[in-house]
Amino acid sequence: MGEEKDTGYTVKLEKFEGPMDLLLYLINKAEIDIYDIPIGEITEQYLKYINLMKKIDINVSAEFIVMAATLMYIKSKMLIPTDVEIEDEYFEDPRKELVEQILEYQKFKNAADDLKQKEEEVSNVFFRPSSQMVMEFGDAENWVDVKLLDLINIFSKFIEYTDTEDLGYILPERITVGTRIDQISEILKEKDQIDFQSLFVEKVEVWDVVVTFLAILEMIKQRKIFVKQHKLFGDIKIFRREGK
Amino acid sequence: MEEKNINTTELKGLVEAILFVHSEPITYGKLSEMVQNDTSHIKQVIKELAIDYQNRNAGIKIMEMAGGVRLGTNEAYGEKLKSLFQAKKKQKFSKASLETLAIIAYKQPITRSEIETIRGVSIDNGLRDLMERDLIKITGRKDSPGAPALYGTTKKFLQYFGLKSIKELPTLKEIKELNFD
Repeated sequence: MGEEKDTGYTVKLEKFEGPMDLLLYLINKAEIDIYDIPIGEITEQYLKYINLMKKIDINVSAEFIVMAATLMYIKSKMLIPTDVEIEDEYFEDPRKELVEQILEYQKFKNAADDLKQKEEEVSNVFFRPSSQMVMEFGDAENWVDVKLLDLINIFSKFIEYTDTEDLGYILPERITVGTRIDQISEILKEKDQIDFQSLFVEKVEVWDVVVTFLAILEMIKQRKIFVKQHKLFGDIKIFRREGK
Repeated sequence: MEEKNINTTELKGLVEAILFVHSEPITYGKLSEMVQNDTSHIKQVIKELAIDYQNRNAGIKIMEMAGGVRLGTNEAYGEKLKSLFQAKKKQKFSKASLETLAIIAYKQPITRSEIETIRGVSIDNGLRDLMERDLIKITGRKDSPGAPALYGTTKKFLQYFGLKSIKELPTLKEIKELNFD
């Protein structure tokens, strides 16, 4: 931690995640008993630090300022003489709430460090990517993953073909996304894969296209199906994930 | 459960093969269903597999995570693999995100303002980012004014940090009782 001197050196400042983080740092650095914080000293250091942050253009967020106010409030309360012996039962250390807060924060800061370590460990382990197919199908290399945008493009093409005249009417007994999912699942029970176009053999209205689109998205999300597109011809196929 | 005539060696091989083709963590229950054998047997066999791999410092190992098991590569070869396959550097979480995640993991279900109270800062975009990466989700609404959303961790969270379950999180470091005399 650098003192504020115009030495021309770059001062490496630790980045604090918030006022609690900074306070905890100051307390640890000063090696003081957290249950008996010399509030005047800590407040002074805290303010010094905030000024330093301002100087080197770190955005000092409102929370830091609020904490500064809290510290000064506690400091002022500590200055009021209290006859502890007489008022023993009613006396509450003005620092108590803050200390509890810091301790609570510290627990989770430690837990976050544990998670960091776990993250590090797992980042050295590799798994099979979840979209990887184990059972190859014919010309597998020609089929590539479909991005959401591709799907949207395809659907907007279908929408163009549909009759948009009756958009203004609300007809009863329209098919729901749930039913559509059931229908598609039913088809996929017999076949492992279907052509995308085959979902639109019958009447095609905007509503059907939209519902089918939503149904497909939902099924992808539920990991019931995955969708692939032919590299050359652009056909889209829907594949059932293993198991029915 | 009805047991097929399959000896332990075969069972071990079969389970290994299933784990090999399965890209997601698979539960003991599902495995036992697939190979028609007792869960306790499956557990035993998987334990043996894990020890086998360990003993010969194998390239793969059994990972227990998110309530299931899966095969992963031995982390001893992690660095090597990374450079061999020019693996994209996974975007790691910031200190701030990890703090938020830790609080949610231990205190779930929890509201955003409760998290903010502990961290002492406001977390505007933090939760959305975590939701987008599918590590946390809204689990309900708190029965208090404004019915704020309650957050909890997802299965993906367990997978990401290689945890078996939320219960397996290390206990929060105990700190002695406050004493203000």
